[in-house]
Amino acid sequence: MKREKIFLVFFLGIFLIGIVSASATCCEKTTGANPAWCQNVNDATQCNSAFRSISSPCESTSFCKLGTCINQQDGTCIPSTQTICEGNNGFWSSSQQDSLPQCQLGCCLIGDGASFVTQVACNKQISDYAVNGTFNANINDEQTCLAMANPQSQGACVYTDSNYQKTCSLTTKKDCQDKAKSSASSNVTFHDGYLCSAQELQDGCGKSTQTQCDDKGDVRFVDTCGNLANIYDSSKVNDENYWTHIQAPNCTPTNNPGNKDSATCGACDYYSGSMCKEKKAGDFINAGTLIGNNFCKNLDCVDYRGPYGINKSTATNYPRHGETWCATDSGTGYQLGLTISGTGDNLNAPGNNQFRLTCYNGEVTNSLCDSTRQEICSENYTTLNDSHKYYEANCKANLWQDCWNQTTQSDCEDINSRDCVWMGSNGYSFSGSGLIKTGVSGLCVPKYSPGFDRDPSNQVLGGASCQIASSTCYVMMVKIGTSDKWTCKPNEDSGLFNGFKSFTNNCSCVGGENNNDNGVAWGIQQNKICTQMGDCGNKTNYIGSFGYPTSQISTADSS
Amino acid sequence: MGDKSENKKFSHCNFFSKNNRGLMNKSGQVTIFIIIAIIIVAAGILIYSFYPQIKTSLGVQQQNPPSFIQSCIENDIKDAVNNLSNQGGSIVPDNFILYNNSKVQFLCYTNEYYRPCLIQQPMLKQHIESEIEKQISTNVDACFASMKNSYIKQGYTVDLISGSKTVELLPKRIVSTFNYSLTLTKGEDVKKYNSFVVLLDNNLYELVAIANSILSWVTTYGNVDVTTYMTYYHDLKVEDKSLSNGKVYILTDRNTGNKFQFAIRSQVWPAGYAIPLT
Repeated sequence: MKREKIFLVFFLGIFLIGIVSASATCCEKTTGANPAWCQNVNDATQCNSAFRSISSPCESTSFCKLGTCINQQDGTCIPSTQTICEGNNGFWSSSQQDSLPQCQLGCCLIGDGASFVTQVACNKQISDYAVNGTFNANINDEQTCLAMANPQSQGACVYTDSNYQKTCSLTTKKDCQDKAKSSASSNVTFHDGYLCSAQELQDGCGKSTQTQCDDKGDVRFVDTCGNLANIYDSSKVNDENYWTHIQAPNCTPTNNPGNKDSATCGACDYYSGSMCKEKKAGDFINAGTLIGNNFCKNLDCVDYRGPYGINKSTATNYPRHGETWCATDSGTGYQLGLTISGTGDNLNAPGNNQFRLTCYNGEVTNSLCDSTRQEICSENYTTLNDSHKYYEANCKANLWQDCWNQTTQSDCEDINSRDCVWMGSNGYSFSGSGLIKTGVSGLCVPKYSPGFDRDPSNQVLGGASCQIASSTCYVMMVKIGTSDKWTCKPNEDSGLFNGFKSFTNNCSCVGGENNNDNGVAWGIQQNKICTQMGDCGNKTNYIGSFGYPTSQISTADSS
Repeated sequence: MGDKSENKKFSHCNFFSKNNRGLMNKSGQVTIFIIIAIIIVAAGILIYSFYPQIKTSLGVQQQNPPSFIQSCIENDIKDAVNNLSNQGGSIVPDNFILYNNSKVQFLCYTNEYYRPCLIQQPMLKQHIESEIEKQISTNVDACFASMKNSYIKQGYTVDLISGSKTVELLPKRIVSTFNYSLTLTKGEDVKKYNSFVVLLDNNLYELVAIANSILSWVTTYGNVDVTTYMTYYHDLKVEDKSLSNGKVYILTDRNTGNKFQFAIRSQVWPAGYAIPLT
């Protein structure tokens, strides 16, 4: 009878969900704790009565249909609804961004930089930054655009300033020509490819032992007038030619990409993990004498000593700049044990979370995948030339929802479709409303048990997962003769027992025929299935607090 | 008046004669006068050296009107920008999530599960500009009133006409322009000011542009990988903090420390089995 009730509730539930979905109301603005624009709600009273609402999904309404909001001042386009857009003085179009000419992106080359924006946005940036710029509509991907930054060749612009001093600035030909038009400077000449420190220019600027970080993150020599010169190369500090012509450095060692912490070379590379930084007390510098006060700082997380890969980070094995990896937490902090193939019990403990850790610019930051393990962290690694395992991790959806539907191990463990594992079932399989004995050898359960949440009234959300793994075993126990001991006899015709007139007695649930362990062994086995389905059953939580048994023995006396 | 002064002088001289200090008094007086002179000179030097600080502490510092307004309103603008940066660009967030005791406004929100969010503030830059304007408006008027009083006390005739206030986020700076007309007249001296500009070094312009990019991405794809932004923008730190009802995104300029944080609820997975709507 109980079983029948459970079935009824289950199917009724699905039926109701269908009705609710069909009767969604679109509120132009909701009311309550989280008032938001254009939301579908179950209950029309959640709509703010000062705004429009309609008994239909927002996608099919005129006021909440998604289009494109065009910011005509800044030239930016963003997906939005008419109400929100026009309410904020934007211009709304029902078309998608891709089909609007004014939203087409191109490459905006401004000054030494580049950005991938619309033409109007480019014009605005040229105005905002007060620099020269051009827009190239033919470039249609951001990487190509950014790679085009700083395309103009530079040279020495020699001129006489307002104090009648001959001086120089390193600039583009156009900027130098503009300077020639200015009344503040005279005798302006441009020397393409030359540095201001070139002796032959006799402009009062010369070599120095000072360096500076440039916009690209390299260390550059600076001449005595404060102009940038070539990239820092300690072997060329007195090289006349290196201080005369603009040229690339020749100092990159093969065994130190990006010249991390180099004392001798300022050709940094962000993607290899270095960037020009001012030297500070305590900064490590490789062997050699650093000239100036800037160097290619190592951006790897060398000081990090938390979980990393399958071990803790050490002085020799630490996360590299740009690397991402997975970790889980406990009451005492991040824990090891999460690898791409890991399925330790700790991963499924109630309250346990999975994090994606990130190393950028020498700093490790963490990002929680999902507080109820609906997203899990997935990592992989490639081995670099120096044998370092370089991890890349992502939070991905935990595809556990249809595990219980799978009846074969191959379907269950198909990693392209779901995150499930096959486990011994003790003859039980899922029925949709609980476990039933069918004699199968295994069943499919979530690899990473989904966690539950609580709503504002402290009610558990998501607990239906447990119901699927609930199991009941009916056993008829008898006392034989004068014995006080309950024993199980198979194939007893009990007459009437809890509604069942006759049945095969489930002695296996109490440890077998003529035995009685009160269902302990059976309970442990069933609990394994149950705990795998979510934060269900008797489970130790993420800080090590034990759960408690939920199996109950109900008796019905037939004597 | 002249008599009184003479009497004073007389009695002063009498003081010494009455005490019978005799001739010693003459050389003693010289010594005392020298000491007094030294003290006066030393005091003069000290006052000269510390004049600006003394002026400031006494509140009598002479500033030109633009400097007066800059120093008067600058901290208010900073406070407003800090507040807005912590609260997703709104002075009084209405749809927010609590993070580190800050109410962080949802800039993209859906109350549903699985679905990408819907942008709630498509004109973010303009919205922030208008919020800063609102936040400082009262204090701007108070600053101009204070400046007016200050000049009146200094004997100026002050003609102040209120005008528009605008705030603009620009690359690496926030420019607040107050189109107030001020005319200061003192005798023949007439000084006229037609607008006042207050500059604040801040990277909010750049951070808002990144925020817009994240919002655009999230509304289309449901989620975003923050490391992409750190790869493209070398001085930018982007963090996402998952909370029970959404995510807080924190953008930080590593060089200046300027920060902008905002919240998004997008593509949320329900705990356990799902129901289609919250």
